[in-house]
Amino acid sequence: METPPCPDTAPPACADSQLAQRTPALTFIGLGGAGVNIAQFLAREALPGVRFAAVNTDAQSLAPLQQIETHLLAAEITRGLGAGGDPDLGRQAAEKDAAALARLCAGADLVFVAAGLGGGTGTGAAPVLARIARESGALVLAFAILPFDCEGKRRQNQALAGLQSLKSAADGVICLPNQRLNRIADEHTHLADTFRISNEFLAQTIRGIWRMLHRPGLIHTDFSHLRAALQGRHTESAFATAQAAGPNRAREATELLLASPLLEDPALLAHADTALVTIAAHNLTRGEIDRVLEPVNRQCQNAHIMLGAVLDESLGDRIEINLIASRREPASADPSRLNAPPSSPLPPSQEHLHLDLAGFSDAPESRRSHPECLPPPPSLAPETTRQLYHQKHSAGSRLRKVIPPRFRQQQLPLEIISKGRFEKSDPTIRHGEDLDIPTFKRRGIPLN
Amino acid sequence: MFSSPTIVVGLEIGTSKICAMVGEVDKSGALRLIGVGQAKSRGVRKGEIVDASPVEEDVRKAIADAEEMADVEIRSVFLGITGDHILGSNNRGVHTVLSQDREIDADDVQKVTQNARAATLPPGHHIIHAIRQYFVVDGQEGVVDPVGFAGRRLEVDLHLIHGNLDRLRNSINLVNTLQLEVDNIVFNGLAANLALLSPEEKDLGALVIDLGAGTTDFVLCRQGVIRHSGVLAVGGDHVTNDLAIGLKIPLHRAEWLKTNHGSALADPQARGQSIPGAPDAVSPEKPVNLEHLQRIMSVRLEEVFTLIARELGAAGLLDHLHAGVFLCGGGSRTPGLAALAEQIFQSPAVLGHAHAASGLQSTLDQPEFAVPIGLVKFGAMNIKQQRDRRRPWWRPPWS
Repeated sequence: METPPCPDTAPPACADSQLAQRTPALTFIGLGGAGVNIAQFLAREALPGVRFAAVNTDAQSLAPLQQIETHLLAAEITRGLGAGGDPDLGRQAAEKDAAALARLCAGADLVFVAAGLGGGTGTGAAPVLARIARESGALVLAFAILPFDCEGKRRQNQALAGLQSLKSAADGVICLPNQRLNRIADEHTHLADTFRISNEFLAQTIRGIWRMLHRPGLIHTDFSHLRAALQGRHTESAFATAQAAGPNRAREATELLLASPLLEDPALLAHADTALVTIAAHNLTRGEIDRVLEPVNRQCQNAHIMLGAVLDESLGDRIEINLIASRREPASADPSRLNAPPSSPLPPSQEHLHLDLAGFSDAPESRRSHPECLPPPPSLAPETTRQLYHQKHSAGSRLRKVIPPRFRQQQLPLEIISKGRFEKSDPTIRHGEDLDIPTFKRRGIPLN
Repeated sequence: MFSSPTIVVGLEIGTSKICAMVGEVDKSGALRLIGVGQAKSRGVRKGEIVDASPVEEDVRKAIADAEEMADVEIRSVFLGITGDHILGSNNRGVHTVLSQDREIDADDVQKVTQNARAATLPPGHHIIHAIRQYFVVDGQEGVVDPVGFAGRRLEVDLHLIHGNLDRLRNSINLVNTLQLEVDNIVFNGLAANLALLSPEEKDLGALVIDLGAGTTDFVLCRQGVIRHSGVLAVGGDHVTNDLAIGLKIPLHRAEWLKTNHGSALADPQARGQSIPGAPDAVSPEKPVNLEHLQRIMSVRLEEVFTLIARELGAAGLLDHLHAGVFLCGGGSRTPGLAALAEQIFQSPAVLGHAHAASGLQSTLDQPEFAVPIGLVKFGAMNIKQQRDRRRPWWRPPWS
């Protein structure tokens, strides 16, 4: 399972000469069915210095992977047959295998966790993996792929609950709601192509970050900048990337960037407080930097904008712009919080950028006690403890009125459900639910 | 003056059946049930008429049956009504007593009642019942009859049951086209309440749930007065429909399975059991998984009760059901329903029995007849009031 470490992934405790040349070690872990597919897709990219791994509870999906590391999660729980859409099972499996997951993350400076939320393994195990990676000292950037609307409200709710706990575990979460792909892929697009677009987005993101960290910069952005942009936010980050060529390449690329489906919600940029812009090209002019930054500045009014300019000959005459925007949650505004050790178990964020997460209480992840196989929670200063307790307490009282997601009943708007003999009669709507639709369908009770 | 017994007829146009009940009120005001006529209902959905011509035919048949059995001619009926549009609300009216000696007289009572009736209703709504709860005299709560009391400020709490006048008219017009007069319209939930509850139970706090085919009507009584009423347009038809969709069977088989094998609680022993299809069916029927059947039914019925409990909980009335929950209507025959109601309402639940009416007792002691019996009882009370007052007290709003 262990591959010989590549030069980049050398542990930090090295000789000084080595340290000088050291580039950050990146590890990409694809978790669950969707994550494995993405890892497989990305492994074909030429990204030296990135270590790829695929983790799943389903042995079948891991079997065809030859070129990357694979790890079958807690085979004794699921017997290698998958988690069957049960996040609790996924979480248990990941917690059971914490030691193996920690080995996967060892030595990495930046761990990407990619998972499709809504199912069992991705939803349940991703927060655990993110926490383990953080505890091993790495910066964790999670990619959460949210299900299509038509996959049903239940899956969507499960995904959102998972996202919430992922946000509390990872340094940054980049969300890719599959539904947004509808804007790019119309209904006639082949399903495989639709997922390829989704994968391509992630690939661009990884490539962008990799380029930022590995290529020489005119205005250098390094790991510390990325860390500054993400760390301690515990909130959703937005990422977009765009490329263009030609005489007006800077303007075109900027327009493409800002029109990216991942930045659909204008509030996302308007409320961002850190934006990391990297511009990569072979022959970059000052005017081009102006043309890129001017619209970005206009969009991100409140953001602290960090600029990086990278020289990359492989781009030819194209220009590539990457944008990472993240928003500080109000609670983290106090300085003591920002100085908190990276492994402090911070309360889950109640912030939402463009997803309505109202109605989700503390994710189960943050409620349960740490299992025995994990290291004990880090010791905190009494003052920090008091603040955390206070935040948690106030957040709890705010959420107490909200019905927990498990009991939330909602209409499934896009799923076509027969109402039988009540098809033509006046619908009976109570609390936003169409009572003419069979209860077992609305509650998602399986009949097998 | 009233030497011959007066005939009172209750007519319920239900979603699954139409029932006409004939009662006889003698000189002393005692009620005796003397006839009943029934017809299978077509053209009614969720308690409201959607297709008039079959309904006319069915009503005619039910009335004719009842006439034959009771050997009387029916000229007018007390018509039971229900539907999603019917709402219950409480309203308080205030009146300042202006007389010199501050003694409250009947005029003041009438005025305060009028004020309480002037509630803000949804547009097009008509008050079906304005039921007096209690008077308040200068802040003294719980006064039953304030006439003769001294006070300056007289208040009254009314429970108003109101519905959309146009939709009420549909049923009334249909009955009128059959050369029948409508004496009064009565909310079905109120009728069930009259039929099932004794004064003591009303005092203790009781909830009547009429699980019909099209709607579920509920009325809560406490301290002898009606505190809450409502209609949920979900009934036995929904259960049948759920079964037809969930088990992928035709509606008639779903109906048969519901009545013969249904349960309001998912029985763990049903796991793995199946019900074979009828052997003599024209087309072969697939066996049906009993566990699925019970689960589909139980989640639906549980939801109905939960919605009612939630509404009552919001009104702060859930903790006052000391007499318990009384179930009636065709749906109440479902095995385990009382146990389910006990779980959800956290109070004793029983199948209600219509009492305080003599004649035909054994045949009519069935949950389906609670509403028609209640309608007749309402009519009998109405006639008694008319006799007592000797003056017309009620004018139909559509005349």
